[in-house]
Amino acid sequence: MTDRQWDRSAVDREASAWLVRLDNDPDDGTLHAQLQQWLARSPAHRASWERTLDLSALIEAALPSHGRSLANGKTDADNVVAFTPRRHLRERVLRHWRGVGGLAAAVFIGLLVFPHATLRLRADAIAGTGEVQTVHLSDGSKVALSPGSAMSFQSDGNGRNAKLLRGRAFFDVARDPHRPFRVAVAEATVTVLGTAFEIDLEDAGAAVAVERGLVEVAYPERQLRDQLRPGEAIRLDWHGRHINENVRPDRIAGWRDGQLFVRNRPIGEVLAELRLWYSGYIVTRGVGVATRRVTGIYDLRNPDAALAALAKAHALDVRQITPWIRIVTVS
Amino acid sequence: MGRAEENVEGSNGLEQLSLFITQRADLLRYISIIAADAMLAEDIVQEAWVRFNAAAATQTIHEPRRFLFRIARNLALDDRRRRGLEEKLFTGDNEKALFVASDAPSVERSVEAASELVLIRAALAKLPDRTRQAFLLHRVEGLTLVEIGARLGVSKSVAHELVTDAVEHCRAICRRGT
Repeated sequence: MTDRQWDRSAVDREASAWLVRLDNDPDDGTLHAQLQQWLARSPAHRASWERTLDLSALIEAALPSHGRSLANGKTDADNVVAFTPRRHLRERVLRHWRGVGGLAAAVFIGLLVFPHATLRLRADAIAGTGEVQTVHLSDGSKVALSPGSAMSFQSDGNGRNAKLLRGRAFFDVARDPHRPFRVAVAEATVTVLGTAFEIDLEDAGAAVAVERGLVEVAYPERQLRDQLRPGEAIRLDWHGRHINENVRPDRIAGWRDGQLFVRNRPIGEVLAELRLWYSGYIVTRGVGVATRRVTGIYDLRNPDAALAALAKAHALDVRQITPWIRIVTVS
Repeated sequence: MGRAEENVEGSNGLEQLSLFITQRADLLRYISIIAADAMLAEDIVQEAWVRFNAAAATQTIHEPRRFLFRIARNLALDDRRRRGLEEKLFTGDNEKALFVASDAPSVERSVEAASELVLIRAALAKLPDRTRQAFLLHRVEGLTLVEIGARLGVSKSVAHELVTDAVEHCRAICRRGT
């Protein structure tokens, strides 16, 4: 490295330190004056500051939205849609067998596959473990299915009808005003003309988030009808309660590129999500699964690394039994 | 709405206006430090004020000064990012610009922009745990460096170093492009 390059990286680091100071105390007038002095030292300082601000803008776009709302002082509900709690058959079955070891669990694989078999009769597309499947529908629409998700699709002169049978999907709908595109999610219906949006189907309810276009969510049984615009999301449960949320459109369906954003969610939810990307079995136990909360960004394509990161930061005990089974204890 | 409520609202509005008038100079100086174009600082401050008022109409603002500065900061950063993208799309260096036939963003370019975000996310995922935690507490949770230090059991200056390390790590990854 030449002296000049070294100087530049030293100045860059100083600029980063100023950035952090300023974000920590944005309204401190003394700090503004000190930073102005630093900027006046040379054109290189000014240029480094500009680069650092551009980097900061990029980081801002890459991160989940602000966690603690300064407006009301509370941590607001999760803005990150790409996440759902889900009861897991694997978990329920294996719970009785924990500690028994690899042999017993291997026997259960046949049982575990069974529910897929019935689903296959109804579904046109099912995404396997660890893969995001892109489905091209006959009308030109595209659907990304997260691991383990399933959907069906029918199209005729009157309309286009998709059904999300399990999991979550991101729809990029081909525009066709004459044939509305509907997605049935249990008892609720989502209707669109041409748009891109995400739907999560959960045991307890469903969530819809809109990236582009206009979407109508109807849940007639509960007299709910709502229109969503880009950046808007709604979470509804099957008891008829619903929460409207705002989501940054570029953060919708982060799972499409294998990234999981989590803010202040129970650790059990993170593990449930990792499970979908893991070719073996992850068994969880301990009271902390539901109560311990985590914030982080995890690489879903490398579940073992994500597990290791979680274990280090949150004192989990991860035991490996055979190459396919991980037992995670959260105290 | 009753008269009493109107009065309460009116006095809140006045309080906010006086807040804005007293903060305006500070806010303007802050924004001219972080905006891409100093000429735009006025516009950003104005827009921040409009948004602050809209938020204040529907909720109680607990830290109004900090909240106002935060809105303005986000607007300035959004503007920077938009400019960065447009520069790449429409001007960039001359050699690349030759390949941009229309004034609409090309698919390749939006993919490129999206991949920068993927790079940053991947960079953060690879950070040492304590560094990543400090960084997320700072940027996502909005904790102060003192609060982060207390949370991680380190001093404020160590918390500052950790967050700076994370920013520098993102810089290095973006420069390398891997």
